[in-house]
Amino acid sequence: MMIETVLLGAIVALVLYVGSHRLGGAATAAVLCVGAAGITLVISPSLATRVAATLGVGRGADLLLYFGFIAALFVSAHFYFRLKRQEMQIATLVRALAVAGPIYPGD
Amino acid sequence: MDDLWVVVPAYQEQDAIGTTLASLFAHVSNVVVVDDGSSDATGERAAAAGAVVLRHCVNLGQGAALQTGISFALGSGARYVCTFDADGQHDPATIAEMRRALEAGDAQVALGSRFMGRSIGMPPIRRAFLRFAVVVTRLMTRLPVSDTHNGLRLFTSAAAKRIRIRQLGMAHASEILAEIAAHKLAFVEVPTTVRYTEYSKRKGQSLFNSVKIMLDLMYHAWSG
Repeated sequence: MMIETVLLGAIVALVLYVGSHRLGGAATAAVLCVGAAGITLVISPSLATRVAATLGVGRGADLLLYFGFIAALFVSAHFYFRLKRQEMQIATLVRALAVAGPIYPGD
Repeated sequence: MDDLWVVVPAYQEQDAIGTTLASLFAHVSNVVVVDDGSSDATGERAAAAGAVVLRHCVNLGQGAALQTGISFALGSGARYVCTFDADGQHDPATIAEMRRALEAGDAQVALGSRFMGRSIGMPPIRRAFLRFAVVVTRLMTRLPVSDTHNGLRLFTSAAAKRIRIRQLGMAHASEILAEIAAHKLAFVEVPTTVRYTEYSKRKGQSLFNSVKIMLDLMYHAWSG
């Protein structure tokens, strides 16, 4: 019971924390879905095992591990491409500043 | 050669930039050094040597510095734009040969080739990497080039305007060739002499960077 209380409290706190930031509609919906799924699995742990059995995975814990791994890959790719886009934006800005202020011999 | 601008990307090159520029100014009159966020006196020494200096306020990489310099040169009315390494490994006399090659034919780009010319003091491992890079680049671009990572190039202004360098780091060398292929720009290779000094070898690419270049190119190919 103790761990369930801790997990439920953590999930609710996380959803409230993320919700306090002004996110877009899609991001808010995703956070709510993940939060709802987390609460459901904490309250009813056997559900993960039943879903895993339906999908042909041995244990519920394994299923969650696979989903967690896939989610981590998506998040990593998302932030990698965002970082690359921001690098290009910074380069454009730095280039504009450099070209706007050339130092000529004798300056 | 008042209508020709030489672009020299430079990062932490205070020990070599003065000598490199002195040798360049014996052959050309317009040089722009792009100081890529150096924390040493690269920019000051380049300005003292008579070059126009553009300063990146943060370090972006050689590809970004080249694009900055090329944009500036085109904006300054250049008919020809040359790229030239800051560490002094190229022979500036080759620039005139490259220009003659462009004026004599239909090519819009002249690419330096150390494998058609000479390389002095090249470490065997670097030779092996460069040979491998030639094979990979030929496969990717279908261009029959003999040297893919030679920093000495000459573009007509029309060609320089079409080539867009998006690779901020060292992968720009392969990207430039990919742009030449994509825009169907006619090119010619010109034999060059590349001198490897202890300084240039220290400043050169590590094997780790070579792997990073490959990853950058894969990202570029993926993201278009």
